[in-house]
Amino acid sequence: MNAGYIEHPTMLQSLLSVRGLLWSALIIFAAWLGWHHYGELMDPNDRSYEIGILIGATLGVIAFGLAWKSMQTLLSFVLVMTFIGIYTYSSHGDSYKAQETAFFLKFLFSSQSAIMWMNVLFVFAMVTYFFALWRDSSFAGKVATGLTWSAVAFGLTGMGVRWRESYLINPDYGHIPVSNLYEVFILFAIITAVLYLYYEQKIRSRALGGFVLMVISAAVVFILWYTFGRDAAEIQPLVPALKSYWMKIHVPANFVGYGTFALAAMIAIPYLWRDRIEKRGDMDNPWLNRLPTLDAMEDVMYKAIAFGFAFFTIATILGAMWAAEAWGGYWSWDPKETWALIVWLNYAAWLHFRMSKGWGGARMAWWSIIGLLITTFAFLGVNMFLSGLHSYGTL
Amino acid sequence: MDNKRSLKHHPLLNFIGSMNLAIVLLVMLAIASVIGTVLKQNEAYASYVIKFGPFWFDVFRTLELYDVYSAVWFLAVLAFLLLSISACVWRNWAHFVKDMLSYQEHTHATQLQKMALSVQGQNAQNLADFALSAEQQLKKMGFKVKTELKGEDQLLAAKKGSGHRLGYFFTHIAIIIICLGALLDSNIKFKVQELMGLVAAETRSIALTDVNPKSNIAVDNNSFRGSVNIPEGKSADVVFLTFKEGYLVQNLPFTVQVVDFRVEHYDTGMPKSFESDIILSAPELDEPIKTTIYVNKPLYYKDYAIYQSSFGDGGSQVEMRAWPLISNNTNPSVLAGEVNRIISMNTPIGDYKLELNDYKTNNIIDLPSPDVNGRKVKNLGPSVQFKVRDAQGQALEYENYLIAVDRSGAWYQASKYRRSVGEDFQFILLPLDEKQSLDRFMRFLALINDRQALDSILSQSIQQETNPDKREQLETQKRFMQQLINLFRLRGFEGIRGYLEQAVPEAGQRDQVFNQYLEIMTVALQGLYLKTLEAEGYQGDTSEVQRRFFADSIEAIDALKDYGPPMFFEITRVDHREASGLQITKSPGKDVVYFGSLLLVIGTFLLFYVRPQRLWLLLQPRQDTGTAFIFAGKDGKDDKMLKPVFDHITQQLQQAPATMQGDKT
Repeated sequence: MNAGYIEHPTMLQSLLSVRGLLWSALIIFAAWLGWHHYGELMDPNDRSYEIGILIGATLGVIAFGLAWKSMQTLLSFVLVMTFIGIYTYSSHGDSYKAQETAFFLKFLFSSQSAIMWMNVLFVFAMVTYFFALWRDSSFAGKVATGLTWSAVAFGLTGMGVRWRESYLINPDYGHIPVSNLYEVFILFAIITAVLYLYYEQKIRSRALGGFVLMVISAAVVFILWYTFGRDAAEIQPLVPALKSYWMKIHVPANFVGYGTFALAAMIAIPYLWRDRIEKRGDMDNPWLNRLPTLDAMEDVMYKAIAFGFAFFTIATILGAMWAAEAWGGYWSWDPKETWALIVWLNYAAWLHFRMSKGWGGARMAWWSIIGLLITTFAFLGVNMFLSGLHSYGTL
Repeated sequence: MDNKRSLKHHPLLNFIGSMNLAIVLLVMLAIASVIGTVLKQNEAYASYVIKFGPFWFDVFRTLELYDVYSAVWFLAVLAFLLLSISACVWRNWAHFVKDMLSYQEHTHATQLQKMALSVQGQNAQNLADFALSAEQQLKKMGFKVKTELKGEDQLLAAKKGSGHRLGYFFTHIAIIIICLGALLDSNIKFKVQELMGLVAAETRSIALTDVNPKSNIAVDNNSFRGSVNIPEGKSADVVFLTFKEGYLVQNLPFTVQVVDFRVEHYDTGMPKSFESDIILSAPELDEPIKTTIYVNKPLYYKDYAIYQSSFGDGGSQVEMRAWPLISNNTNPSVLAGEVNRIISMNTPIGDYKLELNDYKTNNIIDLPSPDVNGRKVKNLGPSVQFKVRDAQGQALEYENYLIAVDRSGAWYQASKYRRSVGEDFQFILLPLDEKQSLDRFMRFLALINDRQALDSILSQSIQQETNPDKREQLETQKRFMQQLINLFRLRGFEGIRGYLEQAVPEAGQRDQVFNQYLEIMTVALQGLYLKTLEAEGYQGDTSEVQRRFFADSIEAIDALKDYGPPMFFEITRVDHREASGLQITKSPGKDVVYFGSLLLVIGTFLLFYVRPQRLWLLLQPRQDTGTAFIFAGKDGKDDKMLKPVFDHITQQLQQAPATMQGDKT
């Protein structure tokens, strides 16, 4: 696994290549296009913050693409697909009903179609990953990776088109699609998949794909039930408290955290499997060649949790700052806030034990699985069972 | 020096600063926090008593579980935790700083050879040139280098990522700072003052001037979070702080006037936005501040923040007609009142107090299935919430809707009621006649209540009968019907069933008898109904609509048994006055908490993304073959992270022809 020291190009070097400059130009153009067409839809009272977020996001996406080349491919596709979706609406008179008739919307890029594609592709990807692991087929593995990338592309497209659709139903309804349980579940699936794909490239192994996609498929099952059982896909307008630029930064940051915690918990499963094999002394077991080493898996778990923890800390602080502007206080011991604190404490403890006490191995793997249970309760359970200021997405 | 050591390593300090203790405390904090999410905090004590019963209510109250985040023991755990973190920082800061600054340039060759990452070799270059190129190489890799001469030998001690230790400080100090900031904003001082007898919660709903002086908080109070409902056009210079079982009145050094309050709704009926045009005046201001506040955009004035947090009723004027329900006349009395005020009613059947609680402009309910337009919600229109309290103080709660409600093509006057806080609300639908009024129903009801009217109707058929025995039978039947109708009127179908349980021992027969009774009763009631229609001028056959009306009336009368005080309040007119719900806070701790948060974020990044790494290059001159070297390295707690860099540099060091001697990688 240890590939030795490689001189990676710095981001500046990436930028100053032909590809890097083209990429930057593309993103700046896309941002400009969005601003040109929809700039006046920005809340006039928050205009400076919204523009700040737009600029920040543009630079962030450029940097992301420079640091990880695969992002350039993915986001280029997403831009094209989203553009086709939005353009089709606009060429049908900006009518929301066009999604029932126009080909490109009905079968591909309307938010509902795109999200359904995402759902299907994720599930197929999971099956293919497991098949690849079982048959030790690198071809199947590549297919699975491709399916996952496609699912992410469709998911992001779905969110982008949904953003536009919310304005088409009624200009008052328009908002970034991270405002309720349905929308954030899609975000969760996408982010977890992207995190997985990053580590898949880093450790150069596709063996963990099926496991991580299990939690994503569980999210897909929830999305499907919620869509068909509760009509959750319908776009609802925002309650006054959510009308704020804060939503654009607090919510996604939280989900980077949730995504990494889910990823780490799912990797704990093959970790424990391999650990059991090794503890038995079963050194001829064929799985030992197919699964990554314990060190590699543990390394990914640690890095993911550390990364997610940093984002989760930021997200919680952003939430407090938002609360101070909306609810008259940065902390109200609201159930969602309190459970976010508990999740934070849990992972702070996990990291403490790993860094200061040097714990490792099966114990930490089990702990990261328990961490996911706590996270799930904070994410979903609070909305389902408890009430409070945060109950925007009750089931 | 010995004394200093023993102070730093005193067993008590060790214990308090130990991580194990911190973990135990954190777990306690987590469990306590969870309790606070599962058990609804800061509700009225009355609802807890209902929920848990007197015994457990008392247990939980003693444990302070209703306000767990301000409970004494919770704060004690928090305080202990802070003590623990402080002790940890105190114990470690000196040697962490030393570690950050030190290059560890006094490490011996033997120590270097024992390290996990360690290599020995030779390089053809002479010592001076080699040292220079090696130093440049290390600096290029981001290390800071210090050279130490040891006789003929030279040691290059390099370090990188010392900021890591700073991460430790920042994160832990940040937690302390955040908690101290939060402490500044908490209501602990009120608790302390309460213990000292200086402060007490006010529980009565009274005028400001009558408030207990111990519940009045002076302007100079440093931090609070309170709310106030200001009706349009009015102003306030106080806010109310919830405290224990009541509230405190916080005086403000300024006045806030709500000039106009606006709420906009979506087409679904949900609030879209609400905002207030306010004027803030204070003695020190030359010009009062005029601005508009809305959710997510408060007004900041000095240390205060004024938020648009909710809205409510500002004393809407309500006109009603009170229909008597057990009288045999239908003269409704006209009443006028105001929301948040009480109307006293002296009626022949007792004294009642009508408390008007709220006026809602929209009532959105979910439909079980989409209607003809594909909508899944329905707006029942405006409603007035009120309570009717009898002379004993028992209250029934109601919510009456102003606009007629339609259900399957017919129109009704809807009313929600419940007998106690613990129960669910029930609906009652009074059918409306073709003129969309309650007249017909009320007249029908009055007729049913009128014993003489019933008697005369039922007697009609008897008078026509000539046979005395038959007459006797019909008389008995008549009395029976009167009793039945009476029972139905007082206790509905349930009452009849109850009677049957005693009267008919055979369980199997009861249903049959019930149906028979129903038939008999229906005939009698139909007679009364026809009389009602006659009075309106209808003759002949009843229409479909009228027949439906009859069935709906029976259902409504059945429901009336639980309805309570013998009046139905029909809301005829409401003159809506709005009140803006403002929250005003003063939190000096906010900036402290934000500063702590920033420190926390920086510290977290330092801890995870800055690795403390050290490299040593010991150069020993060899007369004939240039320089011999020992190269070793260490990375925090995980040498694996350093290995790629280490190997890379090792390769570079061996560039000129060299012979490797001993490799301990």
